[in-house]
Amino acid sequence: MNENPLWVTILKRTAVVVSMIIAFFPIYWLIATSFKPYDQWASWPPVWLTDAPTLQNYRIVFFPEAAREFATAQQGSLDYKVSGSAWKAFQDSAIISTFATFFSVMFGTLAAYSIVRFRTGGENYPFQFLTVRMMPPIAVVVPIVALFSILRLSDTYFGLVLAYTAFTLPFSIWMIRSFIEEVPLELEGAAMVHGMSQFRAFLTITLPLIKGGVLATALFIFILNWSEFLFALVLTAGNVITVTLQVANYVSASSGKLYGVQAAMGTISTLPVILFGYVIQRHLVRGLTFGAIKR
Amino acid sequence: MTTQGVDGPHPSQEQGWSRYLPRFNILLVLPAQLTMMVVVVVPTLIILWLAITDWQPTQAIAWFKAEPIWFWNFYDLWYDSRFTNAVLRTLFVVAVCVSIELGLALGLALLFLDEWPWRRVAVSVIILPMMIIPVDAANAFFMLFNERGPINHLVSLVIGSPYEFSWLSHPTWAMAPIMLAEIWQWTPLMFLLVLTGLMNLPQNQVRAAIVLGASPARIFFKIMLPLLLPVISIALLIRSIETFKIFDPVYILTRGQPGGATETISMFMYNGAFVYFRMGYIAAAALLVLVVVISICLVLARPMTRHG
Amino acid sequence: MTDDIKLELRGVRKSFDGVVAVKGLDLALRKGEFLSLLGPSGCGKSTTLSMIAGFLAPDSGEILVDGRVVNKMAPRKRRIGLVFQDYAVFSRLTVRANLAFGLESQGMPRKERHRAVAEISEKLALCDILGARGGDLNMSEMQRVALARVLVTKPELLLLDEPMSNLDASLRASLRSELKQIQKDLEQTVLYVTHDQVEALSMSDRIAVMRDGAVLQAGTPEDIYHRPVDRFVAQFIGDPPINIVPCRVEDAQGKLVVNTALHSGLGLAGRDVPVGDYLLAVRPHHFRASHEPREGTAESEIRLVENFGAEHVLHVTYGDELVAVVTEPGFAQEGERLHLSLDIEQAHLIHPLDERIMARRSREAAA
Repeated sequence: MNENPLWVTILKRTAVVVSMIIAFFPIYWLIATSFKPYDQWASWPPVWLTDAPTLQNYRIVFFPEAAREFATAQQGSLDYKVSGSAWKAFQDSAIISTFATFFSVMFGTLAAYSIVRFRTGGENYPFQFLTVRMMPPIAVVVPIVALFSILRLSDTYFGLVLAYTAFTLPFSIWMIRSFIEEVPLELEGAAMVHGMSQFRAFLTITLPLIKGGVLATALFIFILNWSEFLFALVLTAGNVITVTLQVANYVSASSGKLYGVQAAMGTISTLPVILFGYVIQRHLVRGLTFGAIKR
Repeated sequence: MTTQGVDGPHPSQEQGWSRYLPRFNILLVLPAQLTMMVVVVVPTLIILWLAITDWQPTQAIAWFKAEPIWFWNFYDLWYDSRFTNAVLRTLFVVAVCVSIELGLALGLALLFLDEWPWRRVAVSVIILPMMIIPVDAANAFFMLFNERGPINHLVSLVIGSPYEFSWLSHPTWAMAPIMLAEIWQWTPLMFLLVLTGLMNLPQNQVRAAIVLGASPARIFFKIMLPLLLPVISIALLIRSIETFKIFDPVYILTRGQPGGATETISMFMYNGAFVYFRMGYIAAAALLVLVVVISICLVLARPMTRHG
Repeated sequence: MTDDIKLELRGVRKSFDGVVAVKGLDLALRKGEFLSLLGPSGCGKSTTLSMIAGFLAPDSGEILVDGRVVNKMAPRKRRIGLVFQDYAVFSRLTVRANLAFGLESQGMPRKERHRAVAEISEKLALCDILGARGGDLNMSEMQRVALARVLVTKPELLLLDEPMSNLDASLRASLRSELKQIQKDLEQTVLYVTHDQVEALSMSDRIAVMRDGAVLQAGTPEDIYHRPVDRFVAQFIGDPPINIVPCRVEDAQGKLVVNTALHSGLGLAGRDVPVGDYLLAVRPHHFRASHEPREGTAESEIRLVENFGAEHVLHVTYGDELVAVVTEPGFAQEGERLHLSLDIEQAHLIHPLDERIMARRSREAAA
């Protein structure tokens, strides 16, 4: 029973509302700016809600002609990089994230199964994968650049897929491991009594039971890949471009960032991630703690 | 890697040709292990070499042919105040951000203990920040803390005169927007972890304390907090590790400017390697960081297994 | 009389999402009394307990402690002791800290607190484990700690929620007498919630039998056992359970008699019931079995013998059904035939439709 006096309850709800506003405000500003015309991007006083909403920023994001028109309209002095339209970035990010997610989850599932059911490599073996998540990626970026230069992987899809697969493996192994551990071994044992090999038993009995968890893991890892910035920044040189790079690209040397365009790109690039995030909300805690805390 | 203590059937033992393959369970971890080898283990070995050279890609010498300069990189690092400052700054950011995140998360989670109609909606809105791409979040904060951004506008409205402070180019204050962006984005995660912990708390222990006449503060500190400790320590560990790596908001908001005043370890290494192209020097720094981080983590990782 | 009442519930109702859990409950508990709330799981007894403790607010009705309505009072101010089914021992605190927790919360000075803790741990044999952490205890230790933790605060009213259900059968028997002894020594007012009739019968001063959110009958264990008000109470109490066989009440020359499948012409002296079909409830102890036919006996066959050591329970044919009959060990074997009589004075007539038990003479005489 609620033993709080009314004013305490009101105070608590107010605090919740304030938190909600703080949580939402930067996102609101991003979205609001994406609809602002050029002269309101950084005017003083700032425009909180534009009175002249425009889709121009989104047009610039997707259509190079619109970008060129825009540049000419601003006396042609804007030397910002309009390295193609955002379509290329979306396409590249989709390809890289999908393949990296697929490999990470597949390799992760096999390894997790081996670790859970055969105790492969002993008790400390899974920690080897965790250390990868603990080291700052920038620390291995320099040698990876060196290595990729001799392997001719720099600025290729495969190079980024490889890097993303490796750096999300700790999540897929540990998350899927926690799902497999929840399936009793007896279920597989029962199938094996009927002459099935253990791996077949895993494929036909256990895997269907944890497919929801594997799917959640996949979405979670897709989010990580889609949002990744550092590797994309360092391992590409214009041939491959991801959405995060594209967002950072709308900068002009003479007049700084193109707020409206950047906000438009930011808004649409983050939408799929938010959607996926809410789909797997139930599993977020498990994912981000490597399966240590379950719901 | 050992395979002792493995029981269960091994199909490979029965079929003729597959006798020459590694054992089945090893085969299963092989793809993951090979990926790790290429992307983590081999690069780590390369670091060992690069760290004792002065390789710079601009010199048109392949990295494996670079001239070794032995331990001079480490000597230079020791006296490079930009590096030591970056290390101290990073530790400061970790300490401040993570403790503020924990404090906010605890306070916030306590607001969500009882049921009320729009509780789920409120949770969904509050965790929104952690859902969005960090680069986009950083961009939003770039706009918020612009000289002509809404934060300065709010300050102007409060003090009654125009206020156009350049947050991001001030040597001291430029760190604030970066840390606020980090706190804003990751308090929701901490909140979600603490809330999960609170919801899974043994309800009757709390009720028993209530019936025994304990005040809410006493119940929180004597009963709930000790029960929450495992969850809190995992949350602190994970957030500390992640914050230590902080890069995206720094890159977007300041790139370490002005004059290196906002350089964290990651930003320092990025600038060194990809702006000044001092790969060998940065490899030495990377080696130091790796050694320290991995040894700290090997110690800290123990609580994770215990409560896993 | 009224200031003798410690706790009173008046027409208390509670429903969850339209499902009624407690409907119009009336109950009174006297000072120093041991009252059991007895009923099957889902009968609303835990909900009732939660309302008395203050975790739930009743939809309507009043809860009074010492004659004051406490409906709106916060749980921590009610001065009620509560022992949970899972004991809820503070797992991260030591046993000593557990015992001191309530006193500390009430602001008792350190010295007195130590004395009180020492006293109660002596009484409940907890001295050896005072330093152990709550989470490391076994079930029976937890139960004692939970009890001691509450008793040390000298609550005006002690609520016990199925405190034995997590213990082994062998432990329960000794704990029953121990608990009763402590309650008597301290003259502690106790409300004991249980689904175990043995616990209720052996410890209680009074029992309230609950079903579907209402009290069916409240009375002394004797009342409940010997004078149940309806079929449910009759069947819920007693081990082995009461036998129920169809019967017919007929008018034999101005005298009401009961006829069953085996026995006929059983006198119904004093019980004024309309002629018709009824059910007859007879406790297994109220059948008499003999090897020889006597007056009022009928022949029957033994189908099964259950050995309980001190007594045997014979399952014998009775018309189309089987009834349980208690005898001394070794009285008869499976397959034997024997002669059965029943004590009609101790049997109950159950109305076949509303399942209430027809009034008997002793009651009418008393009234």
